[in-house]
Amino acid sequence: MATREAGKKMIMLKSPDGMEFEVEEAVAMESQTIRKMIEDDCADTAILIPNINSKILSRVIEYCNKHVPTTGATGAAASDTVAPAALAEDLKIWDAEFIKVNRATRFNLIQAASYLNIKGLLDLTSQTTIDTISDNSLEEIRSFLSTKNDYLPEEEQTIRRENQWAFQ
Amino acid sequence: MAGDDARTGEVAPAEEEPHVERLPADILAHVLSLLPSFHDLSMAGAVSRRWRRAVGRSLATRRRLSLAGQRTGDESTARLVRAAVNLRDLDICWGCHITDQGLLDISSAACIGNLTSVSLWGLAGITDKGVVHLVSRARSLQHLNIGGTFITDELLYAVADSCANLKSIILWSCRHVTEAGLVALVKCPELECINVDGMRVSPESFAGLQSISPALRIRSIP
Repeated sequence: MATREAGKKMIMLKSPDGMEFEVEEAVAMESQTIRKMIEDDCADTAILIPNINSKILSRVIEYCNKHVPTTGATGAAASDTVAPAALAEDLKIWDAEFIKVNRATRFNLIQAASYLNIKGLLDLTSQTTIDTISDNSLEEIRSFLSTKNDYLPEEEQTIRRENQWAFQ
Repeated sequence: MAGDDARTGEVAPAEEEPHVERLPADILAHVLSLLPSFHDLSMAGAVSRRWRRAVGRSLATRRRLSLAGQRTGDESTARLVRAAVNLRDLDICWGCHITDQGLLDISSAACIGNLTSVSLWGLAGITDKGVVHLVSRARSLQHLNIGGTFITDELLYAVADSCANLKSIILWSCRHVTEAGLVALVKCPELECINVDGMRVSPESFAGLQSISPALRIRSIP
């Protein structure tokens, strides 16, 4: 069901626009959805990821590559050479760079992370949206996220009255 | 955790106008569940109808709700608790503007029978009336913090009647409680620990309690 390359089990991920990505099984298994498929033997030579286009899928793989518990190229565990704290710090910096994307990409990444069940990526992408909401006024939230206000004026009045403690 | 809409919904091309509304409802609810404060959650609920539904959904997944330090009143607190149908741990303490009416409203929420922990400490606006009503519905209660309130023995009689699973209770500075209330309370079969710091009960009374229930830990340090 998978090819071998340099002693590592590889797996093929296919996006609906026809692109194929060969990744280490361990990297693919950062996704709990894919892990389940592999463990249940539902994974054939290639896994079609039905609703994530190649542009987003390649970013997701990039994330998983970085976050997979690493063994270095020499086969020595990275934790042997690098202190865990430094590693975590490095990941944080990397994540911050990774998430510098436009909103469309970010919302696609949120959806992909949710579908593929990659908790770290879901938290990272969601958090950026959360930061937009936290400590901002209603008007700011609406404009930052270009949401549509579909409340009738009188409904909005009621909601503001109900939530007066929050609007103060 | 992705819902049907996530699986069947097409991911639009990235060039399209960025729009948070493209997120399926369940994912939006997940994102909103990460909001750190109820202030933010409340704001999010006012953004649009869809967001309001998502806020409701995110509340429904909560096991724990802490309103400590939020200035929520009776109505807003009851609304939050009613939406949190899977709640186990409710913390409405100091800072909230809750009265007995709020506790009566909360008592009819779906989650009340499943609550294992309730904290009401420091709420100056509540009395036996509201709290008795609440504990009479909270039959799964294991931990109750009622410190710094004006409750009396009446409440402890009600707790002894209703809360067969009670393991710990904090009565810190409950200055209207007497020995009679404590004697009724220690008959709760599962009770392991009470905190009696700052109460107006004599040391002899505590010795009496200890003889009724030798395994009971009586703490006077909060």
